Amino acid sequence: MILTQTNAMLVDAYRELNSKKMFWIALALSALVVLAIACVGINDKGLTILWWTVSLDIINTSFLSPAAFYKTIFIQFGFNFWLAWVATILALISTASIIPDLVAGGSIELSLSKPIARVRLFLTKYATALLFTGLQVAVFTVASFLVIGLRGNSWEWSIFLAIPLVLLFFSFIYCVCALLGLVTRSTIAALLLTVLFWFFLFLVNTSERAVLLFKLNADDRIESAERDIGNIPELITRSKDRIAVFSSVREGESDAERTRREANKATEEAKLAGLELRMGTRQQNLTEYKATRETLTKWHNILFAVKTVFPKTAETMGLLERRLTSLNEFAAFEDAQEDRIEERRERRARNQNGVAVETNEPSPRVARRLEEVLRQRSVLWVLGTSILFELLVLTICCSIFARRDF
Amino acid sequence: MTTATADLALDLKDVDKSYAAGWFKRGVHALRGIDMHVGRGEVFGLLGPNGAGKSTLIKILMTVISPTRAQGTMLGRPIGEKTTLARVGYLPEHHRFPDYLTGRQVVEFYGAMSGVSRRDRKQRAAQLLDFVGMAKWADTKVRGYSKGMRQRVGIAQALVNDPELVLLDEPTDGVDPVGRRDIRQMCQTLKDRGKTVFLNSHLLSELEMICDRVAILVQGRVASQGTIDSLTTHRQRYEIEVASDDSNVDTALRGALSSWLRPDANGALDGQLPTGESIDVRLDQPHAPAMVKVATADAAKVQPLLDSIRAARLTLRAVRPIRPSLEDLFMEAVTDPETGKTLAPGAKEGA
Repeated sequence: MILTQTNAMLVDAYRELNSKKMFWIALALSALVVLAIACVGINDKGLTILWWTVSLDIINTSFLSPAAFYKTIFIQFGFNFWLAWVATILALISTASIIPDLVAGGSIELSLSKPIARVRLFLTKYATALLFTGLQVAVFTVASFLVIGLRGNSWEWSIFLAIPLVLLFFSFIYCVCALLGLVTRSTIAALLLTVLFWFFLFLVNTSERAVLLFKLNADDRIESAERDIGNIPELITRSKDRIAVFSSVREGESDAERTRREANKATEEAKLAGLELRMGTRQQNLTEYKATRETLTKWHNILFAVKTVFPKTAETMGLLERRLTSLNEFAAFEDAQEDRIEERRERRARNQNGVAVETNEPSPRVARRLEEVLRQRSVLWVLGTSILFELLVLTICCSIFARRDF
Repeated sequence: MTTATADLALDLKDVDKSYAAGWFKRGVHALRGIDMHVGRGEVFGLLGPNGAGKSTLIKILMTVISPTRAQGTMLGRPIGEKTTLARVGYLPEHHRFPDYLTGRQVVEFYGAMSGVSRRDRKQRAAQLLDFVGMAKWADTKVRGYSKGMRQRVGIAQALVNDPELVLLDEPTDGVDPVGRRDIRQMCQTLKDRGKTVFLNSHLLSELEMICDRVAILVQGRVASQGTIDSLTTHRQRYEIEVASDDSNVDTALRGALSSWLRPDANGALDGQLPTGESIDVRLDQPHAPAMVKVATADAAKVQPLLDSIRAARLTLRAVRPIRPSLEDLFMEAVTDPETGKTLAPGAKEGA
């Protein structure tokens, strides 16, 4: 009986989605996206779009292999943009009505009067929504796998990890949609509030990432200031030694030699004064940086705690990138990019005397460090806590659904 | 299980339902200890004004609502047991089928949800759609159906699992007279096939035509239940119509019935037989014959009154036994005996 009922609900969910046409629209759009990805290529001169070539200095096969290029396109555009945003919104629109329709007056009486446990009825309906979203992702992933294989000559089986990851990502949001649909019994209310919740997750994630970046930047500066403070005494000693040398009058010293020595002494004294001033400034900087880091650490801890409780949608999607690409794979490309950024940054940071001064702009080193920290976060933390959140929401849903009088 | 219980499709004891008060709503005591018995193979009618608790009771039986307290059995199993529902068919009052399905798909889908095998539900769907007169429209989407057609498909889906007990909540709601007759015939056919039919309807005349037994629910309590005969027997009366052409009929009738009538305090003319049955005399209706109503089904007890009327040389126009209709029973049940006014619709508030 269980199989008969489950099968009937699956067929019914398919008929419902089919009647809305949204399933086929989403599938057609997915096909278009894959086709667009397939039209773009890379050669030794730059990017190719169908039979045209766009010459680019950095994006060519000297810096990036075709496989890495296609993986990047798939991850950044196909995965992080299409699947994580557009396809998810389409899937939410398609499936948001499943629970409100289930609990609608006149419909729920028919469902509950059948020999099926309420919790199983609810969870099966929930699963059908995920199943059809999974089907969409699976079709897109298979097509992308073929494009990367045929165009990039890299048969990347890890790409199929996208299916469970997107499904998990979608389920973290959809469980909230299901709860809201159950409570409000309104598709529009459930959809709008879910989008609001998603925006909240986005805000928390972006804030945490930004605060972490600033914290790492503060760490970098503290490191730099401490290095300076460590080096300056030695420079002062050396400078003092040189001043002492320049102060001592040598026997038989000519006027010209004396003038040069005194000039050197004056220069060295100015340098010493500069070093002593710098020492004071750097110590002051260090105190400020430490205070900033303390504040940032406090805020980061708060945001991290909030993030731990809620689903980590961005990190979940980031797992595929972590699995598919290593930081070394893009080393040549990133080095070239970093050099340009560093050059530009230094050019902007130099004052009129040509002396390097500190700017607030994080260096590419910090950005890379941020990437490393994010990649070091364990899969258990990313998925485990998010799944716990989903289980909690589903438990609340089941509890409401099992107890409510309809 | 006793033999009596085994013979009952429904044996309800002390079914109670209170809705707790919320932030924006007051608590409602919808059912106040319902005791009800429905025999197997009979057509049972549940009557009551709006808000009496009829749909709540059916929803409790179908596990859509959980009771505050309930004892008893449905088809020999405790109330609320999900597995029993495989043997029960149900048509909710305001049902809403997915409008993207055809009539056939609706019947097959709810058949599958009741655990009917694929082969059986395909076969039964065709038979039932024919039974409810929807064979021609079986493959049309529900969104194109009229209210009556939806009701017919609803009855078909309620029967797809070949149930022993069928609960139909307002099955004739929004259905035209032809459709209502068809639904009555379907209920009769189901009874002939040995099914128990539990009907909740406002259309008293229809229930009267097909129900073996009825229960009247008022403000969450069973006001009365039994066969229509048993409920109406002690409410039967004789009506004696006296020609009122003569202007002295008033005085003559008072004189003829004086030994039975009470002193005329407020202008009302009433009294009782020596055995206690009431007598009510109506003289005040213009252009209408004088009417004497005697609350008895026994013709012998009316004879002394007839003799007296004849002795007073009054003309008897008609003497007829009157059996109250279900509507009379219903109105009696929903009338407050103290004020004589109809009880307000809705359940009583508070616990």
